[in-house]
Amino acid sequence: MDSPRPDDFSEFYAAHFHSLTVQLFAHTGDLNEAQDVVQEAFCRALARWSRIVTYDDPVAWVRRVAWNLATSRWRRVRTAVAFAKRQREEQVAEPSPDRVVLVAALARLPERQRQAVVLHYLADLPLAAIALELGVAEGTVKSWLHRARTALADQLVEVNAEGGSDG
Amino acid sequence: MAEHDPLAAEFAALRTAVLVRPPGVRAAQATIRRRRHRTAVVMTSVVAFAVAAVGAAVAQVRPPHQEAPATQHTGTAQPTGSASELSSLVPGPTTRAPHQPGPPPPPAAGTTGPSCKQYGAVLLDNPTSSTVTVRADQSGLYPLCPGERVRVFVAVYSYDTKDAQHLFFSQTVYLDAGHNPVTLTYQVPACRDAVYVMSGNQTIRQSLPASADPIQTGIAAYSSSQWGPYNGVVWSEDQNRGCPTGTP
Repeated sequence: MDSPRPDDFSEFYAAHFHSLTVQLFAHTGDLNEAQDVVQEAFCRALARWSRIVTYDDPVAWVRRVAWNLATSRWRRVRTAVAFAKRQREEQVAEPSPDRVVLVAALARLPERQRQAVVLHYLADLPLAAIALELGVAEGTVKSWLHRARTALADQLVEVNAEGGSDG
Repeated sequence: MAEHDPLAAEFAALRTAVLVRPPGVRAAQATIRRRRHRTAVVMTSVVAFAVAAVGAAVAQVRPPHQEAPATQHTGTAQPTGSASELSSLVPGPTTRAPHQPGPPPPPAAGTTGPSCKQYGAVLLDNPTSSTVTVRADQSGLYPLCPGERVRVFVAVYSYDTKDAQHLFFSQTVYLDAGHNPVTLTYQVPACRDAVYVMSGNQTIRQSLPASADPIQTGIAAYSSSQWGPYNGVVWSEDQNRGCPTGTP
């Protein structure tokens, strides 16, 4: 087996950092948090890059690590998030208000449905890959996506209607 | 599926709307370097503290006929030529000085004999996903004594569903004047593993109880009253590659 080139990691990082951050942002609703966990996941990947580069899908490994980090962090600091956000220096600009509406709507979905939606719309994974990554049957993913689409569409219509009546 | 999905456009817009300023690969490399340095410093401190504590304990339990006048306890402890209770637990040709309280001795360059120091730590170089290189720093504070031989092993554990760890792979090597540094090659299980690189005479256990902190697990599981020069955790790593639910 060829040993991995040092440049490989840089290319890998450049190709996937943004995409993974968007996915984690959609999952957590906090862009700084998303960027933190994705960077941490890349650090862990770098530390064992010679092994990870041999995987079929190294991005899936990084996404899984980032996802786990986000979940565990979320559990541990859930009660302190609001305070921490006020204290933290913002590293990146938050997206525009209409995009925030989408993220807010995502936040109202059950976690597994939200994961499925993120993997489908932002990671562009097919149903079979989502099912594999989430450890469920394809039919379950279909069901989650259907319910999530309905809920998201309802919420977005509601927000648009409120915006229309305000203006 | 040909039907129009309005959400697809929303998510496409989200992708372009999120502006990210990646910290960069250099930042990741710096983070890793900093962590490895911190781990090495912590481990060295732990070893030094443990050695001092054991030394103090041994000094307390010395037989009465070895008790020296009080005035002789005030100076820096000097290694003796005799094997101590602790060093008798360490195999191989090396015998070590009893562990006594006091600051570390000066660098041992130029000293002779097996009991030339009280402290020592194995250092870690360039760990990768399948190899670790360990060394005794011959130009630093803790060079190997002439004829000294230090046992180092890597033990890889897989996790079960209850987070208990079970031995998956191990390899033992010895550092000495002719083998320094030494590279250990290890294998890992498919899903989740903990890798421990330890120096000293510790037993490689077949299983370790569940614990949230792999470093604490390593120390608690391996260490005993056998702490001494070159005994301790050199490196500890825990990783989960995310196998499907229910797979260890």
